[in-house]
Amino acid sequence: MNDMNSNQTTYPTLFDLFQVWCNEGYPDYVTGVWSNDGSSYNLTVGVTGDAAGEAGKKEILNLIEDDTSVTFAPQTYTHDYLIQIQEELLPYFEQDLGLVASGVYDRENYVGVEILTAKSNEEATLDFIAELKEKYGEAISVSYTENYVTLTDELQTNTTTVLMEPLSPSATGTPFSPLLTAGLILIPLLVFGIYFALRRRFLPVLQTNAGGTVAQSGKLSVKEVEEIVKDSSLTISKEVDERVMEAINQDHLSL
Amino acid sequence: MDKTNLSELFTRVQRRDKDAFTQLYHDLKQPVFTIIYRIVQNQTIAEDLTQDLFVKLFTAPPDSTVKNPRAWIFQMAHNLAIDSLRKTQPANIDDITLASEERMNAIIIKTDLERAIATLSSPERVILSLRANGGLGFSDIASITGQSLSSVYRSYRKTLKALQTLLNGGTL
Repeated sequence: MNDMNSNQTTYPTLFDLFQVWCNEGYPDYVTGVWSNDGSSYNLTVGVTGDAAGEAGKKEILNLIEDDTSVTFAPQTYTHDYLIQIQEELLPYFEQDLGLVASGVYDRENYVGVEILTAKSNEEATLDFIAELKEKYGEAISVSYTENYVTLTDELQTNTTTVLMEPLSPSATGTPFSPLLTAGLILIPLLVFGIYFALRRRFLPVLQTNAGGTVAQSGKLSVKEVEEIVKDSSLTISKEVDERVMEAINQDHLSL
Repeated sequence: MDKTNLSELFTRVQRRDKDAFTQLYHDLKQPVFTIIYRIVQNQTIAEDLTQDLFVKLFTAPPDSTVKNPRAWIFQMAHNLAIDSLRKTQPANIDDITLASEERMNAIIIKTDLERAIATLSSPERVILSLRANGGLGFSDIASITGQSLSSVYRSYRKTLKALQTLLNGGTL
């Protein structure tokens, strides 16, 4: 990074500027950044195809010294908007709609969502997809996937197995007994009870590797998660220290 | 430890300076171990590989000038861990993600951050640890992992989001 003049910080290539963006976020007019050939030196910046995007292109060219390192592509949706959509989708993962994945696709300039094929014809899922299309238009692209096991699906499968066998007494000719009826109620409750007990234990306290704990008093932000991970370096045992120093001492003596 | 200081230490280690090595070892052993552990997911193997790396660094240091010692050491850590993983789990190393069932079982059983991280795919864990624990820039990570800059950046953000979802009680 060099100072071309007293007021303007510049960067050798777009790659260097991109690193700053990675830490500070994209400017409002940027829609995404991608590599044309897999290298870091031949990047395309997507910018909004309006006056702000045009002004942004000039701003970027003023910020980088090697303007051969960048090409521009006019696009519709800003990166921040696509990230916002993705965040708005998060609550839907908790619902039984078959939504299993989502991601921002820079080059395509949309948020891709994956829906389980098995759920694709269910009314709630169809409503959800229609709602997405209406709300986000071309900023959303829906695709379908066959194989994805979610915790909810797995539990429902197990529960269904328990329920379906006794609920079809006519198929086996076995009469419905009070004991069986009690089992029908208790077993699913037990399954969900275990699930929630495990889930509750998982949620409230995050143990750090330094031995401390982080109480969770509400939803964690991405920034907070990042800080927790940064503080989570693992502790190597003292025996390794001793073995390393012993090896070094022996080698040093042999010099 | 700032970059200049590390470069000086590294140069002294290349000249077999034991005091410099001791300081460098104590400064970098935790991030190196963390990066290796997050790839191999085994305490004993990670400790052995960390030991191998540092002993080799002292007994057979690189001859040539190393421009970015931190990135160079983490590249070695990454390579050693991946090689080890290839030997122990040859079928899994190229997988982009863990099997969903395995992932879900991990979520159910495990209770702390490290265990949530264990539910991520190997490439996700690599990028996360190189960035968050190793403090490397995205360009260095792209170089180490052989991925494009955009892929690294996107993967890092996606991984943080996934961890956020997990730690907030959601499922992937």
